[in-house]
Amino acid sequence: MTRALAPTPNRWPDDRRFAVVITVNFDSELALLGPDPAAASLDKTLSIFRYGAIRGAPRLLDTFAERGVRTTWFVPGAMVAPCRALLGDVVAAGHGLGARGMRLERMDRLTVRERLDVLRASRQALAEVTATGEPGFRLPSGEWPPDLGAQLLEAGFGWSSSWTGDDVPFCVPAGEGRSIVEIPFIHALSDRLAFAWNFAPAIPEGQSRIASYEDVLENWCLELEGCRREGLCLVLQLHPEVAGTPGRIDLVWRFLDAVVETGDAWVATGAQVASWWRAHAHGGPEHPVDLLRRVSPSSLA
Amino acid sequence: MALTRESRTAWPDGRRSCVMLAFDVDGPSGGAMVDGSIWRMPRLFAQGAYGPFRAVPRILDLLERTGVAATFFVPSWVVEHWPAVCRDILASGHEVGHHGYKHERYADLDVPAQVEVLDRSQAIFEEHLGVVARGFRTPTGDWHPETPRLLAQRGFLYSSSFRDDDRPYRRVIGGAVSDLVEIPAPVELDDYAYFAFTEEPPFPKGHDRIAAYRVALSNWCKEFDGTHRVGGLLTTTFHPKVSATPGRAVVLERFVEHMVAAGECWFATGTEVARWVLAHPDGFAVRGEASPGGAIAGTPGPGA
Repeated sequence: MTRALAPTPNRWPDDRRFAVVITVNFDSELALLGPDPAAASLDKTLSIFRYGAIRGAPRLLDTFAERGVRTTWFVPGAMVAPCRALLGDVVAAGHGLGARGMRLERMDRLTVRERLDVLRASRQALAEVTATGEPGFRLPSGEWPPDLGAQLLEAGFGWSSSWTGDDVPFCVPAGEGRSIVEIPFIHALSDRLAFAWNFAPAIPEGQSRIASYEDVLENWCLELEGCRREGLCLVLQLHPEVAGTPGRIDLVWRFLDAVVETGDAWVATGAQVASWWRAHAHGGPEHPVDLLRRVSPSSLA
Repeated sequence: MALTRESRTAWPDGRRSCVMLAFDVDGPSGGAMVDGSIWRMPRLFAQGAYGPFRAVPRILDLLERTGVAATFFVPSWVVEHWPAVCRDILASGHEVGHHGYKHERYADLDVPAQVEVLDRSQAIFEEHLGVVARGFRTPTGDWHPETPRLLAQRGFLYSSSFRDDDRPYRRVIGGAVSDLVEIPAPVELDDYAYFAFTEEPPFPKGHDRIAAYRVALSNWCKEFDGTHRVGGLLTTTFHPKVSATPGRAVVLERFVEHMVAAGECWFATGTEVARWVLAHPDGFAVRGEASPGGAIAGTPGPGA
């Protein structure tokens, strides 16, 4: 009898042992311009991010097609029009979509009205590209305002992938007894945190060295092993300008090989996982988001 | 036989070395809870709550598989909010120790405030767990000059906070040898130095990379191998929320298996170590407070 979660026959569809959600944050230049519009003159620095649209994203699409996996792409609303052709390829290949606001706005620095406007506009922008499955949402940065769940529902988003704090999806309160499904990630499973680097402005803030590719792949594979052991849900975050270089695409290939080789992974889009979880969520001890609401009702509506 | 200045510490049953496997179950407590900002940071709260919610049960499974007893330092706010998990720690044969109420920095508290945190926490332990803490680990850095006296007065047997030795020692308090044992905890075995990461507030401050799990495991094994060779004591500062994600728990298990496989290592809880030290006064050093001139009160003992 284990205390931790253990694989159960019906946690995932078709007797799959664990779930894998490959996500792509297609932030493009807005990674820099969103928080700092004055960066518009930094053409060289912006070209780091343009590399993602020019080379990285097509390379990722080829890799996903080769491995037969469906992934989920989070796109700021303002990038939809300029990248229409590329996003057309994304949805044509069966990948799902999610929003990142219009310009990677920090939701915790907007008024309720502004938040709702941004969320609705980004939902509308995504509607211009027809994808299968309901679109999700990933918080660009900053904290989760107490009533964000309700506003996401109001704007037409039923699921999110914005939190850490669990190994399987959970329900975030969204007002009036409603909730949205959260598909949480961990920081170790992000290419950006391992590899992104720039001289000025400094990325990351302390300009630590670019990590060893082999070490990062090994970390990812250890998390894969742990997730499979307990039947959990692994979420990988990729960024086209980071993962899509000729050298690093090899990591994506090899990680996907490791996933496929397990033979019992459910590789699914965020929309598929959210819809499954909504219908099959299991009970368990009080979830920390419910505990938070109990001890501090103003923290989470 | 090579010349050595290192004399051997005696451990029970002729064991070669001692390991006090220890976890700090901070949960969402810490600076952001002390200053109240955590209540506007639901994501940060959930990241911390992952410790008692998901990671401690996983660690208890791991300890059961490997047959090792451990010590868990738990802020009493965490005991209040996850009492069932904390009772499971005790029911599984492990020990709980004091780690503040909300992970307060003792150096920042005057004496009455420290007394309040200590006594309130003991009452919470008693109410929810039916035991009081006999061990102490400083939350967030330094303690206050009066902290060791307050601990000794309250019957604490040990602290596991300092960095100044790889053997336990008895502490000098106010010029006299006390019954408070210090079990030093090296930063090399603190998972924050390898893995901890928060977006906001940024940790590490410059958002340094998360270390290779393989590298952390290799460093930990080397520190254990060395400790085993010289016959010392090794303790860990592992935070369940940091080093018991699904993948890191795999590495943690390999580390424990490595130590178990070495054989002849005494896996002890903090209280077992402290009782052993107090029962063998000639076998361990006596160390005290640093004097204003920088000299150290107390005498070096075997192994010093």
